[in-house]
Amino acid sequence: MVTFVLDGQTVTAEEGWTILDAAKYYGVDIPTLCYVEGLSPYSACRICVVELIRGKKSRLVASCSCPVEEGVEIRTKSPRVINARKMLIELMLASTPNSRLLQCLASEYGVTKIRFRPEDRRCILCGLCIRMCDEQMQGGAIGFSGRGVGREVSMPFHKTPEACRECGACLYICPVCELPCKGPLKPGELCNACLDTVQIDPFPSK
Amino acid sequence: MVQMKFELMRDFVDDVVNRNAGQRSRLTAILHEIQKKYKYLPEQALRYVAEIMKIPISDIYGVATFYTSFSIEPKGRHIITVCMGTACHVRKSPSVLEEICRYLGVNPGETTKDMRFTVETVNCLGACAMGPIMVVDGSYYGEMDASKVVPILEKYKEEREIISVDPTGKITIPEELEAYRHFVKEKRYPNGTKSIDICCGPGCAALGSLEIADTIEAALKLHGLDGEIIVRRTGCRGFCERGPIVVVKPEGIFYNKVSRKDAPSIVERSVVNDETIEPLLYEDPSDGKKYLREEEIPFYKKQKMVVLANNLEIDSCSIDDYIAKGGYGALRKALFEMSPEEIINEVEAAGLRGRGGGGFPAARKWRACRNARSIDGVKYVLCNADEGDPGAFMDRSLLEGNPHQIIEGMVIGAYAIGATNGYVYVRHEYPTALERITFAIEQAREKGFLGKNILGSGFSFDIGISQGGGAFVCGESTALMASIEGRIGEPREKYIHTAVRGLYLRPTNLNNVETWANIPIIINEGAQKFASLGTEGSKGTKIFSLVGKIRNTGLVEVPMGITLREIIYDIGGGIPNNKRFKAVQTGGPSGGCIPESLIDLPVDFDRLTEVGSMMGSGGMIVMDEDTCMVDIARYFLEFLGDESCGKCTPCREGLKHMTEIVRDICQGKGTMDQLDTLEELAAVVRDTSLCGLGQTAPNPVLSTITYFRKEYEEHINLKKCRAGVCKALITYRIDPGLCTGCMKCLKSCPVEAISGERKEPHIIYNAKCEKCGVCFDICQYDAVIRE
Ligand SMILES: Cc1cc2nc3c(=O)[nH]c(=O)nc-3n(C[C@H](O)[C@H](O)[C@H](O)COP(=O)(O)O)c2cc1C
Ligand code: SF4
Ligand code: SF4
Ligand code: SF4
Ligand code: SF4
Ligand code: FES
Ligand code: FES
Ligand code: FES
Repeated sequence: MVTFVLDGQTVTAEEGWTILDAAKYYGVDIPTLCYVEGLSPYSACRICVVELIRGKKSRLVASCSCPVEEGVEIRTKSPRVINARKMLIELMLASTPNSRLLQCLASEYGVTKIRFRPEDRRCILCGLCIRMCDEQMQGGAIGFSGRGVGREVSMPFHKTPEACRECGACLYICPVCELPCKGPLKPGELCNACLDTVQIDPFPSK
Repeated sequence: MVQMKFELMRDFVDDVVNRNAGQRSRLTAILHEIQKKYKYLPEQALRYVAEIMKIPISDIYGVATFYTSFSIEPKGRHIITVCMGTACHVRKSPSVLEEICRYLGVNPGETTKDMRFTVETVNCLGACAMGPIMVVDGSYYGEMDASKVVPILEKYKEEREIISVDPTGKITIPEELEAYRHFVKEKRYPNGTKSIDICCGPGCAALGSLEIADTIEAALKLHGLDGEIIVRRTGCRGFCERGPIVVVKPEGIFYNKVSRKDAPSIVERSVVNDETIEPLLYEDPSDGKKYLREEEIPFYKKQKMVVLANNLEIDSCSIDDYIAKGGYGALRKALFEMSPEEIINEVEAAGLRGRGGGGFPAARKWRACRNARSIDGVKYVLCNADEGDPGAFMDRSLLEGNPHQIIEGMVIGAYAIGATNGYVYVRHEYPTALERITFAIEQAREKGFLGKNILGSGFSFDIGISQGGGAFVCGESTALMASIEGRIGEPREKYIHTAVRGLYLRPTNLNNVETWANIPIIINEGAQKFASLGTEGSKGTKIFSLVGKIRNTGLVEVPMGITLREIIYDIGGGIPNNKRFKAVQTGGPSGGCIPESLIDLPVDFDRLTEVGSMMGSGGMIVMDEDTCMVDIARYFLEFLGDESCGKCTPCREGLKHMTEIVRDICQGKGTMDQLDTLEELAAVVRDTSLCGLGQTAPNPVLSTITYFRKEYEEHINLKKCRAGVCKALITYRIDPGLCTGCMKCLKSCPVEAISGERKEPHIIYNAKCEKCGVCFDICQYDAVIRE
C-alpha cells in the first residue's frame, strides 16, 4: 500500500496504480483524452496533467501513466494545472474545433478565445484508434505516419489495407468524432454554450 | 518489363533482409540499404519487406516516413544537401539554399522535373568549422556563399563520377596484454624515429587531407623511408580552421593550411633534411607571430587535453597505436584489480556527470542499473552517438579519432553494471564515424577485448551497432531505445526509469560518447586526479565545438570552470572583422543565448543552467552584432518543430504556434500582445511536454526574450532589425558617393539586380533584389548600404 496526499486528503492506493486510477477510486475528476481503460496508456495529449510535489520540488506529470508514490502530494486542480490545461485546450481547439468533447472542456475551463492561427484538422493525434485497432481488434491496419506537425493517422500509402475488417472500432473510440452541440463550427470558433453552468472549482492551495 | 523489375527488387530485398538475419532491430539498416540502392523506398520493396519479415506494413510505413533520411518519393540523380545547422545558419546558409532553389526552380525537399537534382537540407554535418557547407553527392563544398552556387552546379550538368575514399591474435590473459603492449610500443614508437601525423578529421578531410596523406606516403616510398617513418592518419586535432594540419614528430612541428603540392616538400625538407618550412608554420593573425610547435600556439595553450589527448597521438584506425599509448590498461585494471562496486565508487568520487546534455551523475545511473533485476539476466549498456545538436562535432571527432577509448569505457561500465550486451547508436549523417567504430569493434573482438571471457576474466560482453535515420529526437533515451528496436523513434514516459526498464524492457544504462571516453581516464589515473580539475559541482574537462563568428573555429577541450571569456578570446582569438561580440549560444537547441554581460561566467553545469542556458553536449556558437536574436529564436523553433516527433500536444502544436508568432515578428507583423502570448505558451510547453525535447524547446526563445527583449520590441514597434538579418525589414542600396564603379557587386549578384557602368556609381533595383547580401559583403568601399 502506498500512502500519499491527494488534493489535501491523505489516501492510500495499491502499488502499481497510476495517479489516475487512484483519482477515479476516490471520485476525483481528471479529464483524459488519449487514455481509455482497456488500452495501454500513451500519455500524448497531456490534458490529464497533475502537480506532483516531492519535498520542495514540484512538477507536472501525466496522471494516466505516472504511478502513485509513497509520501508525495498530488494536486489535481492547482493554478499551475488549470493554467496548463487551459492552454492545451486552446491548442487542440485551434487545430480541431469540431469536437464536442473539446468544446465542452473549453466551457468547463473557461477558455473563451483562440489566440492562434486556427485550422480544421479533425484529429488530435491521440492514437486511440491505432491502439484500438491493434490491441483490441488485432488489426494493426492503421498507424502514424510522418512526424512533428506532419504527423497523421494513416493507412500505408493511403490505401485501405487488407488487415482492415471495417469493424468501425476506430471510429467508435475517437474522442473528436462527435460534433459540438451547436453543430459544425468554423476554424477558431468556440461553442461556449454552457460557459456559465459548468465552471470548474479550482482546488484551493493549502 | 515491370514484372522483371519487380522480381529483381524482390531478390535484392531478400538478400538485404537475409544479411540482416531478418531481425526487426535491423529494420533501419535494411531500409538504409534499400534507400541507397534505389535512392528512395519503393512501395513494392516495403510491402515485400513487411511480407517476409512479418511486420505490419503500417509499422514499416511509419518508420519510413518518420526518419528524414528516408524518402518514399523518387529522388534526382544528384542529391544536393545544404547544411542548416546552427553554425552554418549564422554564416548565412539560408541564402545559399535560396540561391540553389532559385537556380533550379524548386523548393527545399523537391526534385527538379528532369529528375537531375534533389535539394535537401540537413541539420549539421559535423564539419561546422568549414561552414556554410553544401554537399553534392557526397562531395563537400565548404565556405559557400550565394555567388558560388551556380558555378558549382554547372559542373554537375555533365554527369560526373564521384569517387569516395574508404579508409581502410586474441589476448587471453592480462599478462599477454602487457607483453603485446611492449611489442607494439617497440614497433610503433621506437626511440628517435620520426612520424608524420596528418589530421584526417572531418574538417581537414573536407579540405583534402586524405589525398595529402596518400601523397606523403608515396613521397616517403620514393625516398625509401616508408619502413622507417610512420604515417598516422589522426582524428581531429581541434584547430580545423587551420586545416589541413600536418605535424612532424618527435619535434612536433606544426604545419597548417597544407595543400597537396606541399606534401612532397614536407618529406624532402622537413624529414630528410631536418629543415622547417617557414610558410607552412602557423602565424597568429592578431600579431603576426609565427609558431613552430603545436603546444605553443595560443589556441592550444589554455586548453587541457585529457579526453582528446590521444586524438593527437594515434592513428585512428590502429588498435596498436591505442594499445601502445596504454590503451585497454584501464580495462585490465578494472577486471582484475577492482570489484564492480569499487569501479562505481571511483566514478562517483571522480564526480563524473553525463556529457550528453543533462549532466546527470554517471555513477548514480550505473548503480541504479546494477541494482535493477532483469527477468532473464540480460542488461544493456548503450552509447549515445546521435549527436543531433546542430553545430557540434565533439562526439564525431572522438568516434572517428579514437574509437577504442569509447569501447574501453563501455566494457568497464558493462562490467561494473553487470551488463551483457551493448549498442552504439550512431547517427546516419556520420558515415565515417560509423565505419570507424564498426571497424574498431571488430578489432577489439579479434584481440579479445570484447566477446566471451574478456582477457580471461570470465566476464563476457559484446557491442553491436545501431544506426539512426535523421531524427534529432532519437538522441532522447527512450526514443533511442525505440529506434534500436526498429520502431518509430518516439519517446515514452520514464516514470519507471530506463535503468530499470529500458531497451527490450531490460535494465539499460545509456551514456554519451564523451562520458564513456572519460571512464578509462578515471580508472587509470584515479578519481582524485580527475576531480582536481573543475569546480565544486562539475569535474574534469569538457570538449566544446567553438564555431560561428569566431576567429579560431574548431574543437577545444577545457577544464570545467574556465570562463566563457577565456574560451572566446584567449582560445578562440575573439571576433573577426572588428565586429562586436553579442552572445554565445550553448547547449544546442535546448540551450540558450548568453549575452555579453555574462561573459565572465564559468563553464559549469549548474551555473549555465542558472542563466537560462545549459551545458548541453558542447556546442558553443558565437554570435556577433550581425546576428539577429529574434532570427536565432526563429531558427531554433523551426529546427525543433521539424524535429519534434509529434506525439504530444504541447510540443507539436505549441512549437508550431510559437514559430508562427516569432515568424510574424521577424516579418514586422508581430504585436506586443503576441509577445505576451509567446511567453505564456512557452511556459506551458516547458511544463507539460512529454520528453526533454519539448521541455527544453522554449529555452532559446525565453533566453533571448530575457536578454534581448529590446530587439524583439524593435522588430514589433519600430519594424527594425538592427542586425540587418530579417529580410522583410531591410533594403539594400548603393551610396553613389562611396561607389567607385568597380563592378564587383554587379558581377557577383546572382539575380542581376545591380546595374552600372565601369567607374560610374551603380544602382540596385529593389524589385529584383533577393536581399542575399552578397554585394554588401563583397564591396571593398563600404558603398553598399543595408538599412
Ligand atoms: C531531444 C533530445 C536529444 C538528445 N540528443 C542527444 C545526443 O545527440 N547525444 C547525447 O549524448 N545525448 C542526447 N540527449 C540526452 C540523452 O537523452 C541522455 O540524457 C544522454 O545520452 C545520457 O548520457 P550522459 O548521462 O552520459 O550524458 C538528448 C536528449 C533529448 C531530450
Ligand atoms: S475499421 Fe479497420 S482500421 Fe478501424 S479499427 Fe477496425 S480494422 Fe482497424
Ligand atoms: S482519428 Fe480520432 S482516435 Fe484517431 S488519433 Fe485522431 S483523434 Fe485520436
Ligand atoms: S515533447 Fe515533442 S519530441 Fe517529445 S514526445 Fe512530445 S512531441 Fe515528441
Ligand atoms: S543586389 Fe540584392 S540580390 Fe543582388 S547581390 Fe545585392 S543583396 Fe544580393
Ligand atoms: S490522458 Fe493522460 S496524457 Fe492523454
Ligand atoms: S556542418 Fe553545418 S552546422 Fe555543422
Ligand atoms: S579536422 Fe583537422 S583539426 Fe579538426
